Amino acid sequence: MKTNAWKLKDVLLIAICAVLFGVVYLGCTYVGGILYGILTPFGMASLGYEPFYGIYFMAGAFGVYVMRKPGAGLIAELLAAVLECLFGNYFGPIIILSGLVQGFGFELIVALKRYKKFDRLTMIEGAVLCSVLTLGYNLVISGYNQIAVPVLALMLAVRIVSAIVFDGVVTPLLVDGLVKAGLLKGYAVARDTAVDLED
Amino acid sequence: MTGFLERWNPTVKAGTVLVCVILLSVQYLVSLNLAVFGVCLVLLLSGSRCGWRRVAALLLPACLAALGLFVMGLYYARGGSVTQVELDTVSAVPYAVRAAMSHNLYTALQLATRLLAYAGLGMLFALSTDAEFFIASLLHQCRLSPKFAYGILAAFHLMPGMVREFSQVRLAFAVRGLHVHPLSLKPIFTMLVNSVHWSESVSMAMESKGFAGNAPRSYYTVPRVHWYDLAGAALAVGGIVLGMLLLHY
Repeated sequence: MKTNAWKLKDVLLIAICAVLFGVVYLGCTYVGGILYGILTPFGMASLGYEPFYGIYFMAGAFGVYVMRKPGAGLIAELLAAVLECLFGNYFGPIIILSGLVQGFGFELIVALKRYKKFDRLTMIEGAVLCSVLTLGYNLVISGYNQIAVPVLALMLAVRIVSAIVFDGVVTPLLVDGLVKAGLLKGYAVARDTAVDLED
Repeated sequence: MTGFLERWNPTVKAGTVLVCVILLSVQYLVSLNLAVFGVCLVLLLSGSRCGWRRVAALLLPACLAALGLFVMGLYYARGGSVTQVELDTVSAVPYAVRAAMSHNLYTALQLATRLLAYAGLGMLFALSTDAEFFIASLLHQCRLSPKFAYGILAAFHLMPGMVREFSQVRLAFAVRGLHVHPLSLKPIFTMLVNSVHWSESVSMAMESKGFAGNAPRSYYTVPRVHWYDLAGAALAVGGIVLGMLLLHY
């Protein structure tokens, strides 16, 4: 049985996991901050946080992979963005704008596959598209179009690798672990995995 | 006593900030960026209850980010790379380097001040908006479903507990002699298991207390949009448009 309505439990799961991924990201900001400090004199400061960029998309990846229904990626990223805004990020509501772009990345890939395929490859494609779209956002909104192309290419490369690791590999791995532990009963991901086992 | 920024309707305030950001993203005026940043700081300190300490706590990371972007612009601005100019004409190096550097300096200033302007606008919202008032406003002005509104609030209030739990989980691993770093998957997996349990028990708790998703309900506060909310928005957007027309550098 497939239903597109969101239950309170679903909203809470995505929102709580979004907060969790935010906490994980905060744990990495120390490492990112040190990298940032080291790279600043070389003009490569923005590269310092790029290795952790994929964590930004984890809420979207998690939402798409667990819920497997239209709008899941967008809604998950918007929930994460509104929460981040509430926690007092200095970018405030601007985060909602970037959340929209990130959610759109995953949403577009699964929509192109008519919400039927949610395998690792789809997640990796989503991660890559997300990286490209967010760099597009940086080009327009953050003014990165003023920066030399090779530097942008390097940033994009690091971002894509990070996104593939965190969203294409780690997120599905964690969710599959949850499914195996029998925790996600009633969610689309558990239903699909059960079908896989029968095959 | 709350300041005028705190009374400004959060949805209108957020919308205003987003429109201002989109307007600022199509211009490259250093003076306008700095003016926006300055006005935001003055408004925050005069029109809200947040003290300068909280402003400074957010301003520091914003300034560091701006510094990083500044140096990046200085070295790697598009079309003004020093090494490229050096290669082209060896005899003209001193002048060419200076020309490239001045071009890069301006680009660097554009990038850094733009980030500061965004940070100013973002902080204007972040430091003057109460979480529950913002969600209440999204409920009424954006017709956000109560399921999402109260789900967000539940997760928001769960956060301190989650941070505590996360450090305990990692401590538990460390006690067993397992080395954990910020990205170790085992504690994150344990936390995900906890998150699933929390989402189930919180939703059960809310529903057993009579929360029924989209059913009609009464509200403790109903934020409204007043004329002065819209006037503030018009003033902010108008100011930026005026700046874009009048300023030249």
